[in-house]
Amino acid sequence: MSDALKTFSSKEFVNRSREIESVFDAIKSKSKGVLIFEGDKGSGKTTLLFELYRRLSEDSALSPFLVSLSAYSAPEFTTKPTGCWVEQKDFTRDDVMPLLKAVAKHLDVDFIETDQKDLQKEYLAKSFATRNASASAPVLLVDSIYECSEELRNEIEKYIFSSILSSEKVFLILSGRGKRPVWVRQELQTAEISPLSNLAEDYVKEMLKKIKSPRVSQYKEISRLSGGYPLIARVMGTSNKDLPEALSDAIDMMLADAMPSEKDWETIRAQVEKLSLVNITFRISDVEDYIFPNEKDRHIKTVQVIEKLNDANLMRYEGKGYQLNKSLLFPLRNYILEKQNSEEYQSYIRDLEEVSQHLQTEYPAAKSWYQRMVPEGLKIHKS
Amino acid sequence: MEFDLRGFSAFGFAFDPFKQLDSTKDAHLQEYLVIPGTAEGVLSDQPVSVFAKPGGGKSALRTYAFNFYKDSRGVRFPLIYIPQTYSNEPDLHFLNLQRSLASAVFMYWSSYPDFFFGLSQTHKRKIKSLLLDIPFGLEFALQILSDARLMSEVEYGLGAPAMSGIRFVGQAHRELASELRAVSAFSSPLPLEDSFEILYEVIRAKSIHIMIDGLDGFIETRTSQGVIDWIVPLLKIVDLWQKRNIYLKFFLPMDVPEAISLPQDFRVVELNWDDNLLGQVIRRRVFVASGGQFDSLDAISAPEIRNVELILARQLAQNQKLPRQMILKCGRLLQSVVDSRQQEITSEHLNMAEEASHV
Repeated sequence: MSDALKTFSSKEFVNRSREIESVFDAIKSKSKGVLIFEGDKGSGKTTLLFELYRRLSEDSALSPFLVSLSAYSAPEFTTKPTGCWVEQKDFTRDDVMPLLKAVAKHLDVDFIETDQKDLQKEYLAKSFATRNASASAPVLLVDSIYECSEELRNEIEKYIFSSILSSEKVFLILSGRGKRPVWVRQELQTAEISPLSNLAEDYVKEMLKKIKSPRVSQYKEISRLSGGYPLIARVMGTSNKDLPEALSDAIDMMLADAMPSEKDWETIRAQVEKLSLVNITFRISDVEDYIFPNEKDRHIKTVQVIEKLNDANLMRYEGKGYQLNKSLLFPLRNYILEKQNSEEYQSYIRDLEEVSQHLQTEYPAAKSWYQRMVPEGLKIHKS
Repeated sequence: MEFDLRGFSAFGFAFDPFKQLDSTKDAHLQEYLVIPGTAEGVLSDQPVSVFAKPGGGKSALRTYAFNFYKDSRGVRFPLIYIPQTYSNEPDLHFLNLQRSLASAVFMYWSSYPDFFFGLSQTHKRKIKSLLLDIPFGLEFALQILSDARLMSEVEYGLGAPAMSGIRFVGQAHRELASELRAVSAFSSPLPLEDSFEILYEVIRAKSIHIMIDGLDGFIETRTSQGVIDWIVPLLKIVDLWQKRNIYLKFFLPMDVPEAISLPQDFRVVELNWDDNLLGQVIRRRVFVASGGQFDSLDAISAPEIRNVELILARQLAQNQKLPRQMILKCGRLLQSVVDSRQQEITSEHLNMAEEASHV
């Protein structure tokens, strides 16, 4: 993915007034709280948190501290060295102690130093818990908290969130995509969760204007094809290819960013395209004949694909089964709808129809469920 | 009950979420305990009385509340008081509380040893005076601290939980033991009220939460009037202590409430469970055991089956609608799936579970 897409610029921020107002309202009306913005890849979570940090920094009664757990760049904030942790490399467990010390410095909290690591973390955490509540209210903004490793998240929860939440007047604003983590702290388990909606047509237009796209006049089509997901719309807006091809490039970029170690792009793209056509939440056994027809070890292979997509937070389990994240599913499905007459996509649709029929026969009690497996709008050409 | 490893890992669980029925020993309790809305008051700055049937979640809630307060790193200081005797001797409670407090404060300093070294001499002497009430004596506790390598050894030796998450006992702990031995205590014993004051003055606690549990056994051997007689001396000081941010939290058997006269500001909570709440108990455990992958047994059921938890809760007889019974029932259901060598819950398994409810 282009580095430019991992750089925050407040000049290019597209209105998220509802979300921003909800944060300021909560800070005004409550003494303590946890807000989590959830959204798929490319839905604008990071940009929202960075913009929130910028605006919260303007209020002298607040002490915002921004932590980006994934590599990012924010040149605007280099003049605020104590108030943010944004680096062009991913956050690791080795960074926990320096982060604790940076937060302590920012909040003007004294702490006892020791050589013993686990004691040091506890001492820092204790200092946060007993900090002077009359000082300005800390607002900790942490991006990508769902996506980091479980060990790292546990450390952050234990030493930072939990201790800070023990003091008065404090807010946590988090963002994440994919499966929800298992939190220990009650305030995190019961946090107010706001799903980030995709951008309406007018906002797509506003965004295209802000990034000086030559395709502002095509905003309606870009909005429709991208599903209103900012990252996809942005890439389409900067491309000079025709729109379906620009959409295809944007999807590739999204996959590449989420799965940086993947080598066989053609195969993974084909598998993801197939899965995007499945219109129900599916179990692995539901789709193995569809993804790997006639292959002997199709179950294991399907498990591997699902695990890969799950680990990349491009898919999540909902209710009865898996589904691709909507920011990937809708643009992909829109692309296939555009190109559905091709032989390749016709074969996908035929295979899916066949699997759907088979499952209806195998599970008669769930017939109506499997009837919904093929999305509307797809047409099979009679050969 | 123990699934074989292939069994429950095939369900996508990292551990068996229906195995540990003793909530006080459950490593995942904080992650999956479901607290009915009315019971959230137990975490508030208020005296509270929680009433529930045996198996209704009292001890789980008490353990949860203790860990919740422990996370505050001494700001909201937790103390557990489980009676060793049901005697009605005068001052019994105050003596027992003094001992519990001494153990808790010892564990606090063991959790944050370096904080002790910076205290004034007067504060150190006050702490030492307070610690003299530790069961089996302070020297016994200091010996355990000096010999231990892991914090869990100190917890085990003193029968009290640590107040932080540190794992290792090191040089700072040896120095703490040495300083505590060297410092001289005041000549007269500290009254309980002065001991509480030390928590505010030295540890910078803002409130103290005393959780009184373990009275179910009392009811089994004595009358409910006996329980009332036992707790009356504590009820008399609720108001006074509340003014000093000391909150008493009782976890009482359901049989007691009718005869009891509680102080005006006392918040009374009854742990009652309906089918939806019992469903949540299971869904939360499934969510945690699957590492957040899915949050319902529906995910490991045949395609036509929905709301497995609700189906199971409805199968319980009215007097069995308690978390412990629900957890047991789910454990048995999954065991029956493993035994049948299938990988998903089917209608047959659910029918078998219903039949078992009627036996």
